[in-house]
Amino acid sequence: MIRTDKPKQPMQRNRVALFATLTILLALAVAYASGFLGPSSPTSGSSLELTRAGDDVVLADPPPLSGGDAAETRERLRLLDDFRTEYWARQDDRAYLVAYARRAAITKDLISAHAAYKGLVRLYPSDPAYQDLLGQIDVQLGLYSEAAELFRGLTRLRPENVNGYIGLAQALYGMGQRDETIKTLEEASRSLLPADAMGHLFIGREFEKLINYPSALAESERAWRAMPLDPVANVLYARILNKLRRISEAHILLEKVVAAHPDNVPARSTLAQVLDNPLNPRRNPALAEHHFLEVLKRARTNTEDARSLGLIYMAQGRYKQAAFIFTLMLASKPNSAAARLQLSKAYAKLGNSTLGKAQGAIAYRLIDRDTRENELGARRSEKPTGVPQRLALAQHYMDHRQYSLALPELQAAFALAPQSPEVRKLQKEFDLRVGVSLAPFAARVASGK
Amino acid sequence: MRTAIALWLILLGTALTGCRSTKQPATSPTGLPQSPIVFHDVAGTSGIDFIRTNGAFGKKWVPETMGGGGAFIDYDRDGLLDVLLINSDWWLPNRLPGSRPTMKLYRNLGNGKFDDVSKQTGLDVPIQGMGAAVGDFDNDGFDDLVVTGVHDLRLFKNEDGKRFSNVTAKSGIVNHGWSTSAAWLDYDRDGKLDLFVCNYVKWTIATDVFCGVKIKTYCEPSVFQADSCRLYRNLGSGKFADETNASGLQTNKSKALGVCILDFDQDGWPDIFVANDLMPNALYRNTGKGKFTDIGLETGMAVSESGISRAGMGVDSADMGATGRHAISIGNFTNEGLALYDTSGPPPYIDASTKAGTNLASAPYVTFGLVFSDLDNDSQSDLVITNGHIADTVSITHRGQTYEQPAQVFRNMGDLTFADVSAQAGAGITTPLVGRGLARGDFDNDGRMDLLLIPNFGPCRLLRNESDSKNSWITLKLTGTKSNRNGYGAFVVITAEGKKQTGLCRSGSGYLTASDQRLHFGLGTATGVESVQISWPSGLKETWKDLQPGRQHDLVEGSGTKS
Repeated sequence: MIRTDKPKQPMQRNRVALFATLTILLALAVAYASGFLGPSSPTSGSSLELTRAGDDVVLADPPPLSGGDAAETRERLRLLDDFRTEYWARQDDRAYLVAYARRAAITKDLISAHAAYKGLVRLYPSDPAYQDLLGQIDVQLGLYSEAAELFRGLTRLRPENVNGYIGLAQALYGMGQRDETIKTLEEASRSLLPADAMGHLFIGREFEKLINYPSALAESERAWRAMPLDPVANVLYARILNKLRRISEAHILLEKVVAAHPDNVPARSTLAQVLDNPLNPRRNPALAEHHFLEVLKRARTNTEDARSLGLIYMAQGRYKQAAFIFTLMLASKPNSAAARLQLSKAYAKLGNSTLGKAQGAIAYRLIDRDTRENELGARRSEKPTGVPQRLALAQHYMDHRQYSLALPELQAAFALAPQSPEVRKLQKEFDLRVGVSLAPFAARVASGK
Repeated sequence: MRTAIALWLILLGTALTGCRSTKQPATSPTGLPQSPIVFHDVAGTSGIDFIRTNGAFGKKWVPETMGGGGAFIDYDRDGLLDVLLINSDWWLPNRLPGSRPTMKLYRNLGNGKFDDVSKQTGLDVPIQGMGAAVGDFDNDGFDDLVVTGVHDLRLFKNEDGKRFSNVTAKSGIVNHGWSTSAAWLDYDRDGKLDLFVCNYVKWTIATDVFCGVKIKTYCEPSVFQADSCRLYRNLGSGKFADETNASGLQTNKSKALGVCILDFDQDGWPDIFVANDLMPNALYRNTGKGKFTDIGLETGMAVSESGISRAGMGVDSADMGATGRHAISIGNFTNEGLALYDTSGPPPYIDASTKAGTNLASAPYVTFGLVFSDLDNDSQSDLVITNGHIADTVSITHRGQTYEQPAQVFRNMGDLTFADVSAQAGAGITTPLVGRGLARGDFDNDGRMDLLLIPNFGPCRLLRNESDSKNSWITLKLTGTKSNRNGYGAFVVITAEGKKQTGLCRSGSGYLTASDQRLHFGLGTATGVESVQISWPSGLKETWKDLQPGRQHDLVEGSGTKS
């Protein structure tokens, strides 16, 4: 079971008892030298009641593979049926268009969202909010030139607003202009008011996505200096510090955030990762386990943290706990190749070769699927305005009944080539398989009639 | 006083627990003080003036950024390792004036100097080259060569250590793919070396893809279709037959860059590990009946622990601690880090590279060349890697990353952890280059393993090992009589002062390179070698007793005591 134990030094499991004794001796020496022998901070691991998974965790059967998300996708898309029907009669109705656009964006029906926001921009051409939102949909649809034009207008109109720059950077990145992308983000940073902490935070995130960590650090530090108590700013700053191997600094920041905001899941999650980082001089897998488990108590469906925790258990040879966590992960994400693979390894190590092989066989199929997805995804990323690339990826998702993933690719293909017979054919197939009727609406939007 | 007590406690604790910093390891696994592993680049002063070209002229054709390789080969059998370096060529639309780049062979004169013998040996030929593999396919006692390349694979027969003849057409070997790493092995144990060739992706100038939008960038392999590796069985009389299909190796799920021959299950039949780029790695288990079965996934080594195919490039295996089994390490892309599998015990295996310390240390880099080698003769295989990005514009697009990257040396600490000792290893390691091929070999026969670093473009580095180690060593040169002449596939167990080490005589491993085929063992403080047991591919098991350390021993099949 998952339980709260008295603290255990992580090395205890790996080394003889003598080592643990000496570790304590060393800690005492350091504390004595510094003249401090008081209680440790609440997250330091020495006085905290640690949450730990024991050997008595009860293993449930692994859940079966998911049969796909056709039903969920259908449910989601049908929520917009009424909006679509009324669209042609209510193109000048602001309240209707706003509601339609928002709902469509949430349900990821990009063609609907595009149509609604375009209507709003037509009605209110000087409202930057609608231009921003339309631009964001343009980027998702691969309409990068249109998006860039909108965002350039926005940056001229409101140079102090970060949204225009970020949208422009994303559009330029889609167009393959990576130098210009970086220049745009740098310009954004210069244009922002010094107190615009959120602006710097957003730019920092964009640099992080571009794996430009030095710039991400500079931006996140600006955000953190402006909002030193804000957990979001702290977490981003710490995350980048960790990526740049300034681990001790990240560690200290995160301990403070978690102490002040114990229910902040991203902070705990990042702290757990830092605690498990082998380069961390204060590495503490037991405490990392504790924080990962605390995250999962608060966010059970957080599969990334479950995966990280499971991998800690695998590395520690605690295969039963690993099997427990990966089974938990499968409850939220039954078609996860990583979870099936690790479950197969864990069961094999536990001596249950039958279950290990069964999960392995599933894992290999999923790895095959994911390898192909990565291949097609890379081709799409290389040429994001390429219709065949979008269609190939959409077809792959449909072949694996991942309709929610197929839809944006298919809609992007349609936005890029609305008259393409190949696109129209796949749209019809999508509608047929999912049980919706999106293609006629899209065709009518494209024809403007 | 308070400070004094504290210091005393710290010192006591440190002494009793044997604490050590991974950056400044104080003692070796043998308990001896460790001297730094140090290399000195002697390429320039030794006469190796090879400047590699990658043929790039702005088109950003992917093969430009993937080469090149080379080999340590004693082509004239004088007991000294010579150096072969594989070059690219100008592409057809961009033939520059003057002589075309060619591969180069440098003869080791034994006095620290090398002589360019490319012309007299017939190897001064242009080829859109990638790598090389060394093996005596006709068992005439002289090592032959296979050179891989873009739509070009050439077999060169060594004519009595004087010249190389291109016998590709006569041999029946046909490979129009883009071949990368290659290895010789006797997979059917008939005494004749067969050839395994990695093919990367289906790429031609005509089918090249424009990656990027306005400015072209080097494409990643996902853009191109996979191409199957090939196995050519040696029929004798210089003829080969393509057995890829018949052996079960034909696949459309392979973008192979690295190959390592190993006897994974220790059944005496050589197995093949293939490192694939963004495809699952393959471990082809030799069934002993002319067939191979891919057990990469079920052994846990095909993909990352997150179930994702990584950018596998160089690969090598070695005995990690007298277990009789080998660990396998694979070079990967930025942020993926090296993979390291301890293959002791039954599969599935778990990537131990994070625990070992090699993953995070290598994560900032793109690792191509990778070899295990006992660099300080402490009886533990250390690890060397060469790094270099594939995108020449990466410093613009990904700030903080660079095209040229330093190589790295990891010292084996004896408990399957490694310490990054690159900083002390000399400028030949720390000075960034666009690292690709990497081969190990003792070119000066001083018992310290040297390194050959081959970049994508520019001069190569011949790194002489100048580590001030007092450890002893032994080198074994195997010659098969009933088995293939190189003794590839022979499994060796040496016992020195009761401690066993194992090695497999083989071709292949690393990236695009052929390393010294002799078996080199560091012996630590041992002053003698009680026994050397060899299990030859022919099935013969022999023992040699009481061999003297500090020198090379030539062990000929049939001359030992049957065991």
